[in-house]
Amino acid sequence: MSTSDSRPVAVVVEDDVRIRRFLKATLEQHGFRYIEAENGRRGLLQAASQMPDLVILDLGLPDLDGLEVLRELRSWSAVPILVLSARGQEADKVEALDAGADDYVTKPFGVDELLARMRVALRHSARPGSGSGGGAPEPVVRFGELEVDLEKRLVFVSGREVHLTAIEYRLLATLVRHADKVLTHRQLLAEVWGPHAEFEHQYLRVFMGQLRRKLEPAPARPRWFLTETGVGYRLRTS
Amino acid sequence: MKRQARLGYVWAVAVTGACTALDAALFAHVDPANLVMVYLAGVVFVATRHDRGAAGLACVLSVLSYDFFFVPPYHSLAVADTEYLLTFSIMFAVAMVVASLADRVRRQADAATERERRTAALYAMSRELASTRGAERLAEVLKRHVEQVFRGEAGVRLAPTRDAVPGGPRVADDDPAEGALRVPLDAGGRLHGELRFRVRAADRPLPAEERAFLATFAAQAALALEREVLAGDAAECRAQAEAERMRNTLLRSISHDLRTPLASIKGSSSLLLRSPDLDARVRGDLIADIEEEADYIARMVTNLLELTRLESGAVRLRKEWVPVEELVGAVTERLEQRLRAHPLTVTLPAELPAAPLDPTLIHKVLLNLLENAVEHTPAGTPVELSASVVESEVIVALADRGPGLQPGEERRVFDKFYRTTAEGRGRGMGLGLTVCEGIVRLHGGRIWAENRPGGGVTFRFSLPLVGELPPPPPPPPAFDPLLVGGEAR
Repeated sequence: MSTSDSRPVAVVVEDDVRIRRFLKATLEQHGFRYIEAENGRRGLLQAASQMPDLVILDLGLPDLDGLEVLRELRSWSAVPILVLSARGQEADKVEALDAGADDYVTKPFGVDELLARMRVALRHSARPGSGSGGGAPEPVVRFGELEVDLEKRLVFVSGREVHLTAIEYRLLATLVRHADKVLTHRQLLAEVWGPHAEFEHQYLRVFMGQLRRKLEPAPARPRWFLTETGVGYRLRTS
Repeated sequence: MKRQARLGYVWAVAVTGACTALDAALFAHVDPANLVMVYLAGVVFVATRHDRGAAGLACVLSVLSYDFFFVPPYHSLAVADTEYLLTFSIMFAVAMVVASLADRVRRQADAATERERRTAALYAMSRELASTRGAERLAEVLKRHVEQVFRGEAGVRLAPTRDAVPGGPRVADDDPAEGALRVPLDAGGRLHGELRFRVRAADRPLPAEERAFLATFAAQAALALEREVLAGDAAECRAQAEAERMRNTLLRSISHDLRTPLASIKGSSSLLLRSPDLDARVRGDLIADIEEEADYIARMVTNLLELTRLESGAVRLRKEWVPVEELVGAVTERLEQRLRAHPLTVTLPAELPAAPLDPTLIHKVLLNLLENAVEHTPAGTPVELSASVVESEVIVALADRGPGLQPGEERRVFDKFYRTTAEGRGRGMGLGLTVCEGIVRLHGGRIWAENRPGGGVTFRFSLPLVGELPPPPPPPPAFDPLLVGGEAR
């Protein structure tokens, strides 16, 4: 470990030694400097001292609640945080995302899924201003036959302009600004209707359905506007 | 009672007076001896309606009136002819005998009426007890009926069942001055609590037969409570036997269904570990097997956990209005990889409404049905997913072109650990469909399977469309200058 090491740093907070070993191999193979912590307290310590570029945090830790570690970490750091959680704990995932986690991976997970989530988290952190609803970095975003011009507020499908309502457009713009990242219902409501949106997210689903019908070739088998049931939505751009 | 007695004396006086008036009218026309008959009739009249005292008073007044008005010297109690003394004696004796006979008949009639009233009241309570379940409700029935029949304040205190002390009183006085009684709820030696009763001030003290009757009410309720306890014991026994049977099946299933993939993982990985010079293609296959088997075990464990949660009642429905289309999209996206070998067509009507459902749970239902179809049908066969609204239900259907079900299996495929015996069916623990059924039932819907004409199975489930989508939200405030401008042209 030399000080001239220019590789990005990943801190893994996970109590299971075998999962740590698998993560170590994966991360090192993909050019990360791997630092591990087997519990929450050490994890916080490592995150403070190593200035990581990415934190992978297991929600089920022996000493502290994973959510506690997450909140503590978020109180002083904007580092991208990827959460590991078990299936069936959708409420925990939502809570972690609302508390500032960038994304989550459900155990058991494969390496492709992990790397994809890591890439998105790193991409968003590398782009200043993104994630907080600030300036849009690229005025025109294209994925598949979809084209969104954030500057002129125009949307095209296969070159043909599509008319969106104000709400649909805001929803789309929010998803585009957080492309490939999961957004919880609450996060979307806050960005589209303002931080004090008080109604239930049942209507969010309705608007999402309308957006899909206008922009997806087969709305019942969406390619771009993905639903993470019980958690929120994700715009897939690749 | 006292008021009624006073009324009897009034009647005795009135009836004797009436007889005297009638005799006065007849006096000129009939023999004086026949006037006695009118008085006797009057005594019988009073005796059949009122108690012995009133009848006695009527006798005495009749003799005196007869003497005073109709026996010379008139308007005097003196008697000129001593023969009349005999008339008076016989008249009095006959009147008293008639009065006591009439009184006895009346008492018997009253007793019969009272018996009938009690039987009816007891029957009414028994009937209600028989159709009531739950100790608290039974106690409520007893309290209500006792208050109605005995006109007082009743209270029932239930206590855990214990053996009664033999020879204890059936009805005990708690506070005689206050008319407070205590009746144990004794069902043939087993106590279920006690009935407390406060007699109305006007009825104190409660007559012995009323106390006995009160005890009968309490005993009847105690028997109903005993029945409740016994039924609970029997249900518990059945549940225990069922749990025992399930545990055994579960152990057998786990040992077989989880050990097989584990054996494959163990075998492949140990081979990979010890044979570094394996052919690259073989290595690749072994590694792919390990991944596939791990996924299989993960699915099994998920279903097992889900079922345990459903059965233990730990699953709380969190219904929201969710468009079915969205769930279908989420599930097909999740299964993208596994659906590669099966062409999937999705047919949803454009006007398919949102339905009130728990998205994570119904997601699980769709996922299991689709996985089931993928697992149990040959590669290349199509899978069709569709939904429709029939009356006030959304019906989702998943049809495959696999080997279909054996006759009679349409229901049993939803049984826990049931595996179809049809040829060409894949492996599985027999839990996926059981989980589906549990979730659909929790939503108040149904799930069923039918063989398709031309081969294959259709699984359908329904979800009731109850309630209404809440009103739409207000338009978003223009808080973000970048997004202001209403319609995006």
